[in-house]
Amino acid sequence: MLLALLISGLALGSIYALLGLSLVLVNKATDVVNFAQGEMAMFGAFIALSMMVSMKLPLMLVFVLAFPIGMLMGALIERIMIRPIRNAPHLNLLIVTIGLWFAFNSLAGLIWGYDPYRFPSLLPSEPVDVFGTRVFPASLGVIGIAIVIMAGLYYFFEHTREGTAMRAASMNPRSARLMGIKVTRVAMLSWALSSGLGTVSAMLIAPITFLDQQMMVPVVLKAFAGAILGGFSSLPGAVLGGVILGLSETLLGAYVSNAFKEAFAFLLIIAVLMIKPTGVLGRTARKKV
Amino acid sequence: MKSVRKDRLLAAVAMGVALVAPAFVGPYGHYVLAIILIYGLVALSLNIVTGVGGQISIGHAGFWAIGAYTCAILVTKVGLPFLLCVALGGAVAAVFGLIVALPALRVQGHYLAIATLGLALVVQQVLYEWTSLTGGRGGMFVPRPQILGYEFLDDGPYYYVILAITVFFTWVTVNYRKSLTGLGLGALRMSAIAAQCSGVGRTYHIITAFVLSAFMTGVSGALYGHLIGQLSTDSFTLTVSLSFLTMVVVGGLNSVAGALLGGVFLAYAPELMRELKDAQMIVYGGTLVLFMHFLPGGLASIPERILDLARARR
Amino acid sequence: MKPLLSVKQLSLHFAGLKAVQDVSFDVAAGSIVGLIGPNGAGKTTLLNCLSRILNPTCGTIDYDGHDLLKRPVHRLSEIGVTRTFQNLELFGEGTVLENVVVGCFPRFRSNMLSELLSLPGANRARRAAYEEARQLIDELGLTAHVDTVVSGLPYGIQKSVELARALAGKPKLLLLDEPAAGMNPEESRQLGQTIKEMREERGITVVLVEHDMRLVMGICEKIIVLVQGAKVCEGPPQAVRENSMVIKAYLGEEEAEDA
Repeated sequence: MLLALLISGLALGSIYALLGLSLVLVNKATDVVNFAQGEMAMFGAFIALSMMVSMKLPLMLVFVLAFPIGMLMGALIERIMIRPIRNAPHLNLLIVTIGLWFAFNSLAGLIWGYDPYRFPSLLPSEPVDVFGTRVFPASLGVIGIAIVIMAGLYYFFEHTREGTAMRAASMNPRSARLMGIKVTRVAMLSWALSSGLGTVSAMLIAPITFLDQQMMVPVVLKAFAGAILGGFSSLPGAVLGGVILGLSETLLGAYVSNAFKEAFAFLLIIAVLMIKPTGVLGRTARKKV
Repeated sequence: MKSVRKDRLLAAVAMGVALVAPAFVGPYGHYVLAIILIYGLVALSLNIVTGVGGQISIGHAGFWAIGAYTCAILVTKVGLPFLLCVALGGAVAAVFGLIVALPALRVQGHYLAIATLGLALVVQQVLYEWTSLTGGRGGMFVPRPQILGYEFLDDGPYYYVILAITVFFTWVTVNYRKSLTGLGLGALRMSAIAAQCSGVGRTYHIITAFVLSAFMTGVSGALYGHLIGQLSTDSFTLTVSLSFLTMVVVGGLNSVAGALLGGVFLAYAPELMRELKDAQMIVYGGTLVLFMHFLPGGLASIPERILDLARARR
Repeated sequence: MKPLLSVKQLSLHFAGLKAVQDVSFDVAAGSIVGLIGPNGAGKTTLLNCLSRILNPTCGTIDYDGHDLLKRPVHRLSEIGVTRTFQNLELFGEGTVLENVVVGCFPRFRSNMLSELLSLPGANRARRAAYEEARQLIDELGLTAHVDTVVSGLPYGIQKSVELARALAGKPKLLLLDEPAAGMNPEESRQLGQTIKEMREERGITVVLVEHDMRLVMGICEKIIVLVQGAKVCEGPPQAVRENSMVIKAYLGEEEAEDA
């Protein structure tokens, strides 16, 4: 029983981790909190589903395309909505992301309606036997995919020029620019990556929660909670925080009560901010003067 | 000095219009006028926190709800006088403002915005679930307001009560913006580092601004409940928080006139958008994006923009 | 006589980098002290520790009988420590007057309730603060721009505004971060004059981080040289100029200065 809970908690945590990663990634690279992240992800998942249905594409292909679809969306949004005002006061950028949040949410409803859609799962839905407990393949699949993606990101950031450039630009944009790194390109790339991650998370959640336009709203707060728990400025922290949140939410739901999940995430945010504001792995970010 | 006289003139004209407007409209018009002021009060509170302080709140519908329900419950179940309950509604909202803001300010960053998101969602859920206290989805009945035995059966006379309260808080907001504390908060927005090095404490200033804002929004919620006569969870959703933000962006984030303009916008927007129904959120969202790109100072900044254009032509 | 500022074994480690290493020095009241060193030497980091923007890993900072490390950033101005910034940190949307008045903040602010209700005490304090700010603006020759929004002003004027804001706090210790950056030799000479006047007329002690050697050698009684976070030399200008380690650290840089 415990093993099954741990695995589904890990699966949930993996999804939170991917979303948390996307939030922290954009924040580190462009210092903007993208409140529209969840809705953009949901939108991407809808696009994927439409492609599957209208173009009769196989699920596997659509799944692989999820990341690039998300990336394209992110890049477009950054280019059209964010870049023109990137030198405006921060407040304005935040407001734009909030506006996008609601625009995407509503747009999805207009295009695809308000009823939930069944989203097919890649893996069979019958539970299998693992070490004597019944486990859903979907959970294992989610964990597996998340690990693959994170390994890919790790490789990208540590061992490719683009990735290293992004790290440099997020640490010190001025020096990075002086070294020839195109900071605007880094911004677009980080939004693209982040949106790709988001869309993949949405596609992983969709089979469980059904795809509908409100699907990501509760998840977003929890992704924030996970990211804050890990220290908002740290990528590995976002992963750790998301996993911890997923595990504790699942365990709490099984052993204590299933209601007030949002409240739990919210209280977690408050608790972390009060006790260790920089999170489990984060470092205090100071503006360079 | 010229602009001060201009402001005073504008304020006098606005006051005059506000005083005589009810005479020109029927009962429905009285309701609309009251709603404009109620929204205007929320806009003023956001003027302090977002306009001056630069802090986003996507949770103010939560304070609105707390003020509305606290006041309604105290009036119906405890029997305290109306005005006292309005003040208490504000006070309870203010306490929650403190609870939300205090942890969020421990670190530099956008945590306050995230914490207000949490507040909005939690309040929404509590309103749904705690049916014994709030009536849940079914809603809660609110009686007509009573002051010293006189019952305000019509919206017209009630409008004047709301007007008095709104004028008071407008005066308070203007005082805040003029004061050294208000200047300090604005300085924090423009350069937190320099403001702190000049002696402006970040935590104290943002928290006090946020608590004041929560108080004013709570008062507005309390007044709203008694105007509508019925509290339902639909009035206090995340979308409502968003519409509050949209209202101040449209009116003008950093201007008192803008706050009141925003109130007018929000009072009429649902009317104008009745056709659009489900597309309402796109309109709000799109409005936010468009204004930030093309008119970040809101409608209140239009005169200034025209002047700038004229000056540039010469 | 006890020094106004006493820094002892200050260190700051950042993610494996030793930005400041075991630095100790004293600043006598009424003196002008220069902090120099090649780029990346830790001068601004040290200044940021003094103004409490950064937390040192270890060490102590004693100022005028206060343990500075026990104070948060916003409680420095009230004990007489103010600063300017390398890259200017002005309140862009505000006017010159508004920028300078913020400097007066700790000495004039009133209780929030009395400000909200526009009580006479709060109004009096506010008017006094603005009055003082105007006086300072006049003294620094900025009267022509008093109601102009700072973001539109030329760089040199902006620097004066930032200095005025720092002076508005009636500091005993003024920390200047590259005040001569972007100035031509004539402006730099005038700046030196202004700093000396501040010391003479207002009794302010000045610590300045600078690259402009002519300015530093010209007005500082004592110069501290940092290289890669560590102090390599401390003394009067003549001694520093002739110190072999300093010359080595600046080899190439010194020649560039003379060019």
